Amino acid sequence: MSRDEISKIVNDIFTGIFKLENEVISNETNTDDVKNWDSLNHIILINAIENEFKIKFPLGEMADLRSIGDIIDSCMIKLEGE
Amino acid sequence: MITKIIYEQQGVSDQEVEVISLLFNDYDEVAEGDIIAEIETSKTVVEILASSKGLIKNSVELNSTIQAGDTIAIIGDSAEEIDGETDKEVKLDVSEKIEKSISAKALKIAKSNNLTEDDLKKLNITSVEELNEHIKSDMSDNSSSLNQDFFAQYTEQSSPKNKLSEIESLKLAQSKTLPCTCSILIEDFCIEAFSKKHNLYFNNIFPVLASICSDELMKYRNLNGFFHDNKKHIYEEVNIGFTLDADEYLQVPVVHNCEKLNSEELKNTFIELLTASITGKMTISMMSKPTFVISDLSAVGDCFFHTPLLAPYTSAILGTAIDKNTSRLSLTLTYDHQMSSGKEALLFLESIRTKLSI
Repeated sequence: MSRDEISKIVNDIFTGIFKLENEVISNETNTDDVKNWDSLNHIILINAIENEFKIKFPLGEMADLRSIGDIIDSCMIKLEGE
Repeated sequence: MITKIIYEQQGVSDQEVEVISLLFNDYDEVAEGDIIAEIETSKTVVEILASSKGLIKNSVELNSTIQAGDTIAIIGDSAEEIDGETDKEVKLDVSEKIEKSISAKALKIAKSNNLTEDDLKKLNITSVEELNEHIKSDMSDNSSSLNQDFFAQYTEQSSPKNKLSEIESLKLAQSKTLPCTCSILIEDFCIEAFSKKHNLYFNNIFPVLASICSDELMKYRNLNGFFHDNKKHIYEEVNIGFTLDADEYLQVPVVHNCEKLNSEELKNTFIELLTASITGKMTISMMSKPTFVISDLSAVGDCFFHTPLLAPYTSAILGTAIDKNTSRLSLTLTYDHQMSSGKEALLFLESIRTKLSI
């Protein structure tokens, strides 16, 4: 799966969970930029991505994913490794 | 003439009740005033009376749950008339219902307090609420001889001879706590810098607090126990619960054996429990046996935590919150004064403040 494909899926999940409509999402979008991106919603987001791509983020790694770019990079690595 | 016996709601929580006895078979003859059924409400057992004479046919089954407005039985002059189900609703008048003098639940509680059925009759107590009121008033009134008898028995029974494992939840619920609260502030507290320094998960300071508290609770042991039977009970292990709003209700997941975990393990266990809660995989064991609780509002918003409430089987709870406008972190401890002195509580808070400020 290409980075663009992964990026599109992650963005769709992200905008769905945080109910974003017109906001511009980029790789740089991080936890400080999105009002409701808190500890609980982060788990919901990561859980949804794990289910979508059938991958698993270790707890330590999950806690360190603080931007869309971080998440996409991590997904890329995991999917390439399969 | 057909008469329907309808269940009328007894109290706000009695929309649904259980039929616990049906005293007549279908087409038996009943007289006006006969007890035809018994239903169990949240407070008591209510006898349902026949409001007219005739042949009866039950409309509900034994041990079934019925709702307000349901027909319990039909009374008519003949079997044909009943089977024809001619409608004529006669609502049961409240005065026609006779409550049993004492509810089964009240009797059970009374027994555990060495009160007999006769004692309850003398006191005109029929419900659990009335019994609890009586026990409360007993605490401040020693003038009645019955009260004195009751207290003599209670004191004798409650002397500290039971093992911890034998304590019944009912008795524990009746034990009193004397909650007191004290607070301490940390000025110029920058959560962002603190979070970066300790690599926190979304500014949640629980793992750091849990680590500090577990160390301190090994010193201030009275804050890690509970009071019952006029005796202090101290836990050996430190299991710290944290409060979590999940789907509009409160959960208290517990990090067990905190005294054996390092900061990273505490953080990972904390995230694990959060994940279990959010993904619906929380188990009873994950929420069992907290010995101390931390209620952390620091990641929620700007506020001051005034009065955390003690959880059952504990003697202290730490509430924490941040007011970003004034850069103040507040630490509020509610503790059971039967377990700890105010000085002890403040020294505990002072130790936490010192360690957080390092």
